[in-house]
Amino acid sequence: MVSNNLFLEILLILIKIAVVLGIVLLHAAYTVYAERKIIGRMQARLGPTEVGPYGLLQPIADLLKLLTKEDIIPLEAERLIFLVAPLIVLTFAIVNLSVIPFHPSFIIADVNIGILLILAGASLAVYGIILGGWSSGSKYSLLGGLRSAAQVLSYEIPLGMSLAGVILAAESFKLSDIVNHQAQSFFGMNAIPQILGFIVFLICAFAETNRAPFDLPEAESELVAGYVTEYSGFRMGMFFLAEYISIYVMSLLIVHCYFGGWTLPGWLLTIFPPLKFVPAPLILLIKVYFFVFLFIWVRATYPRYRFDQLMSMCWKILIPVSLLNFLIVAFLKRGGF
Amino acid sequence: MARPLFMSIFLLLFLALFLLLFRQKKVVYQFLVYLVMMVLLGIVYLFLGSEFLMAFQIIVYAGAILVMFLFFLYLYPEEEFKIQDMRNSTLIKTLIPSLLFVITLILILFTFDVREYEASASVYSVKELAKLIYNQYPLAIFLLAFILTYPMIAIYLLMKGSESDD
Amino acid sequence: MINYSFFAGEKVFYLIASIIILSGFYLLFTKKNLLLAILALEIVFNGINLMFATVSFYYGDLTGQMIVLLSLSVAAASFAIGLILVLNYYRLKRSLNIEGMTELRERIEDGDRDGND
Repeated sequence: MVSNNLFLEILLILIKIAVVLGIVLLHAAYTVYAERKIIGRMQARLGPTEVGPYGLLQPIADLLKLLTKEDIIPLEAERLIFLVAPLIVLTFAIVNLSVIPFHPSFIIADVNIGILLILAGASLAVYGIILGGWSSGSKYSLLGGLRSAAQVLSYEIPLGMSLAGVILAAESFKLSDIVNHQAQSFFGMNAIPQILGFIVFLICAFAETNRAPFDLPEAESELVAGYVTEYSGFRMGMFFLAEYISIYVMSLLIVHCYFGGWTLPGWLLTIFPPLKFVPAPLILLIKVYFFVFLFIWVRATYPRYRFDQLMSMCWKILIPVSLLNFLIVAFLKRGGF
Repeated sequence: MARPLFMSIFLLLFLALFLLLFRQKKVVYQFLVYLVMMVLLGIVYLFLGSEFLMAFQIIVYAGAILVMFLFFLYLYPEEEFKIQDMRNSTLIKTLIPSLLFVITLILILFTFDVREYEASASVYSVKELAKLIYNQYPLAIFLLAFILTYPMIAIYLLMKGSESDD
Repeated sequence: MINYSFFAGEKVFYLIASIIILSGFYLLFTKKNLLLAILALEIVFNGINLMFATVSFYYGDLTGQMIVLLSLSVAAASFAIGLILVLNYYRLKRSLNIEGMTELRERIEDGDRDGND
């Protein structure tokens, strides 16, 4: 029954998935190394130096350590949910990668509603954190999970609202359409007319990935390690892997929605023509690396927010500002930009 | 060819989840069954040609409303959820009318086969839906926007309430 | 040989919708809890939404999808407000039992006060 053509198509998709997973997992592993090195330098330390030249083999040593450690399940834990929770977080973090284009011709699934699928994946991944926190049977874990629920629930709204401006400008939910629209538009990238939306999106991206300065769910000084307190071995590693993958997803989303993805703005090319010869993947890679660096930089610089400050900032500042951004985009659209 | 296969799989999945519901004693597990049902319902919408509804169902329903509910489930002591009406007479008294209702509904829907219904639109896309909404139902969309401000205020109050509680 | 045409038509969607509605009823009738009652009603809501979307697809009328959008947002609003009401009820009564909600009943003087009618 299965035709030869269908078989080839499935094989092609499998190869694409393998390539994307390989690249992203390697990047996630070395982002841990980069984070330790960069934060070390910013705090006048050296960071890891022992394993390999300049400590370059440190991620592999970490991986071996996590794999060989004992997987402890607490007595108080709800066994099934405790075992499944890290898998939920990791799965939905990886699913988000499938709708993101990496090159004009390289995308696993070019679906109609790419942006909405990423939002859906991000909102479903929260369940892993809440359930993991609750099923550990520890007070610190439960508090971390509840904080995470409140935080992500609140920050999903300004995130979606700031993306609404981008969608209105491009008249499409497809990420590749959004990138192409920016390349043809007057400003060359969405970040210039929608600077308010970009700032809101950046802040919400920090909150969605549970990174500093919004790392309240795993605040070391208040809750031992939040929802990861009771996890050990490879399951803890899954949580961390999911966190670093979602940093990459958010950076890719920022680059695609506000900085033109793999294209450079037209006015920059007229000022400096040799930039035309830079290959598209390199442009994307440099932009993504910058935002990953920004994630690490902010962690080393800013102190943590208090919980009520976090909530009031979301509801009293970010949501009105993102609505204002939406209105500005609507008027620009009417003006013909 | 693929559609009947997928639909039969979905029907079996829903049946399995329904039977699983009877086996669960703990509230959180029952809630998880409902959660899986709602996410699957979003995928079923995909087979009805409306990707937008699927996204709306998963983002708003599974992603926001049910997270809010789970938040509440942990706020209350666990003994509150153990009050269960185990008397069989009450169960029969209540379940039989609802079963009758659902069966008659199904019977009416199965025998109702009017094919000469006038189709107003044949294209299924987000843009078509948006055109319909903004051209024919401006009042409804205004109401919708107005109503959606309620949960926002409500969530804010909830978060404040749970903070000041302890 | 199984007849596949049943699974290609709209009737399988009605079956799925009825399963969702029944599972909502099951929770509503077995648990005497205010919070779970709200959840159960929302589940029933979803089953009816699926019927709307089915009819909208098979009879070619986009109004059905429109109604689902509207009712989903109404459900979101009613859910949030219902949760706040439950929170305040719990603060007053320290209990979530539905059977304790007898405030509207005529107050009986102490003496012959039994819970049943």
